[in-house]
Amino acid sequence: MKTDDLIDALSADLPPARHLDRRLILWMIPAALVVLITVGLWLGYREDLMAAMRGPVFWAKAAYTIAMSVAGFWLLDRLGRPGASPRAPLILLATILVLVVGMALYELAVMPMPERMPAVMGDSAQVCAPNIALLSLLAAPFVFWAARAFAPTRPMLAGAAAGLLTGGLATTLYGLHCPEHAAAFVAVWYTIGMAVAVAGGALIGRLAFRW
Amino acid sequence: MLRGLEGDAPAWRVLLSELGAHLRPFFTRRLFDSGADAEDLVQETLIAIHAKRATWDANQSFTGWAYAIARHKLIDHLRRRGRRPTHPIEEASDLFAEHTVEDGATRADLNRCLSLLPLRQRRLIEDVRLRGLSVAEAGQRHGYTETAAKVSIHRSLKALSAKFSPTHEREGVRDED
Repeated sequence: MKTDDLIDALSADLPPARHLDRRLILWMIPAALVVLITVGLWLGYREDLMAAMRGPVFWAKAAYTIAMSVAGFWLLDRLGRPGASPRAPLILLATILVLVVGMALYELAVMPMPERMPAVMGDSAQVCAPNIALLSLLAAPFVFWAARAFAPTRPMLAGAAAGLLTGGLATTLYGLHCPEHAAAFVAVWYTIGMAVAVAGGALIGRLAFRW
Repeated sequence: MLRGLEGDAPAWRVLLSELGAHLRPFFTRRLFDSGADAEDLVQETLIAIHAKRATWDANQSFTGWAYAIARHKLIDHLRRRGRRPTHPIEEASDLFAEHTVEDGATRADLNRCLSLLPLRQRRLIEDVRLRGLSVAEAGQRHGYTETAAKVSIHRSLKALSAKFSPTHEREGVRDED
């Protein structure tokens, strides 16, 4: 096919461009619903949910996981646009991690020695990360489907960003079930759960983000 | 670009044509080989730019965006080509030396010329001029003294030159060098 003919064909088919951010947010809604329902049916919401929502710990946990999700969203939005720099969202991500690790270390430091290990391990250390990974897997198809409209020149990194977005979303909703309250527990196990989602996302991205 | 995003087909057409004109030299310069691959890549890039036009952010430089896509397509292409069976570069010189069509034709011509010479002289010329033996070594193999070998080679070349018309003369000499 001659290049000129190709140009004619392309410009003949020109619907107005879609907004990618809006598309991604729209697809996050069904993803969140699926996770929300799964948490409710499979794990059950924590019994003291109403009381917990009045305290600061619940919201502090949610702030961490939502911030991770936002960082993932922003990072995906940068990596998904050829030539755009991912620097700003990476700085945000690093800042969040430093803050959370700092808070966890401070909390452990002011704690008497014998209480430290139980604080880190909580009651659900063994299941926390696998649960988060599973919930992320349920949300992933929606997010990655929406993210395919982007044009990542580094598919694995973009996949990792989409994984972070998915993991943050799933972990936030997992917070409706998980009654753990120690910053150290959250900093370790929530972070590991999201890291698994990031790693899975990188693998999926490598296959899914071809264009 | 802005008008194209809103669905202005003529504006989009102009943009794609201009991009095509810029991309062609971009790819040709980076591929080193055939123009056909470069044209394929121009088309692929234009399709990608068209399909992914929503990924351009109005705060971003347009050329930066377009060339990032072009580079991505180029890398993709090189990777794909890299996966096809290739030969290490050391072998490439052999391939070129032994198998080009032009080489075969030259060789055939050369053989035809040399076959006009008596066998003994012919072998001597082949050893010295084609196989790269020294005059002394070659002479020994065929029973000449070094001086006699030199004279024989000189005479053979002269005879061959005379055999072919003046226009062919210079080519004939160059072939045998």
